[in-house]
Amino acid sequence: MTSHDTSRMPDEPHGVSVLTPHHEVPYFVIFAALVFLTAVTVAIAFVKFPSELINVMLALAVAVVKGSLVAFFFMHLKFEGKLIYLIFIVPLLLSILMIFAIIPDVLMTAHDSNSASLHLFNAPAIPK
Amino acid sequence: MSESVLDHGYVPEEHAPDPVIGHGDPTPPGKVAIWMFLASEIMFFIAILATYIILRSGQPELFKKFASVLSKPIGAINTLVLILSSLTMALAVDASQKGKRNKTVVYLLITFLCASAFMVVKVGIEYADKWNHHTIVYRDSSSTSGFSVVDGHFDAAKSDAATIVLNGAKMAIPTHGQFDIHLVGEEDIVKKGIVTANANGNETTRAEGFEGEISVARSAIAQDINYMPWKNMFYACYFTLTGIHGIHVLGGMVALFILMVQALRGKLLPAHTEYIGLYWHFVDLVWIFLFPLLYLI
Repeated sequence: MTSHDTSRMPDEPHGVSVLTPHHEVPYFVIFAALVFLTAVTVAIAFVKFPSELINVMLALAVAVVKGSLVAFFFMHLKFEGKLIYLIFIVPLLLSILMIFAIIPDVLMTAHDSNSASLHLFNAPAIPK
Repeated sequence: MSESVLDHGYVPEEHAPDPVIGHGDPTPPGKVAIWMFLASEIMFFIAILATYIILRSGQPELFKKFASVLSKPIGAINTLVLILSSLTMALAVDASQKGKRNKTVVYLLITFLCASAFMVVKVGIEYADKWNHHTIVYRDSSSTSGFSVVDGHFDAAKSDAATIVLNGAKMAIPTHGQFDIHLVGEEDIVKKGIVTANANGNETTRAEGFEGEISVARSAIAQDINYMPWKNMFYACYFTLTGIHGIHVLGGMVALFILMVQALRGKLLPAHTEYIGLYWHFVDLVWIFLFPLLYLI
């Protein structure tokens, strides 16, 4: 009986935090950072990089930073326990898997552009 | 059992954290539930985003051409509006948990107004602009091919039952080469103008397309499409992605409204506010990815 009861004791007094879920988060600082990053990503969009891939990667990198700020601070992910991480990490990993899974499709179509818009008006009209 | 109560000072059966599940994880069931819902939402959005990536990779020039027509400033303003709403939502959750009724109501109201502003800009300005943007192929005796194409915005005030007036660009449909009403944009008409080919298939003349106010007799119209999902693959993706996101915003607005009414009636729902806040931040997070993917690249 006694040994059974001790096994039920939590390692740490986690339960206490239920009553005081207030986390002091610098919301306005996060907001300012998000506004700044929005300005950055728009500014980058006007810059012509030698490869378009750089534009895409930079835009996505900024979006990931912004998304992380929202998730960790606005959504309080920073203060969550293992359970919440476990719940969202699974679809997140599957999402990454999904992106890798479509790489063959993207590569197959990339150089086989059926984009007629390019040749809309200046396609050779009369066969040589 | 009573012994253990005396020993440890709590009732093990009812209140002790369960040692089996994460050493008594204090996460409330409601929060687990909303995160599970958000997990399914992640899968949902990544599926349509993957579709977008594949379709875009198939027609990169087409997507680039029409994506560049979307207004970056309007998209950026909408992004800032959503970020602001996320801030006020976080503040509303904080105020609600601290039992501050007035602050909760004010912050929820600002969040709701931001959401409304987002939808007004999205539908009232952006979607309306696409709805009024037409590409029309019509019979034109001055064109060597017998047809001309005009691409521009419908002017309701100047149009009547017999004629349709557009502000945009016009050119004769070339007699050679391929032409597809779904692929042509205003930019093409302005830049390319009229192209005629000589016997070798090379361009000989290139006259600028006409830009300005163009009236077309309704009876002469052969084809008329506006910039809606049926325009081309880019607009199909654009409306699917932003439309589904917009529906999420509308759903969030309903929840925000209910929270606001309850708070006004003196009923603070800190837990519910937090869960709806989580959903709201997620909707903001989705837009943070949609904005660069649609407007900026």
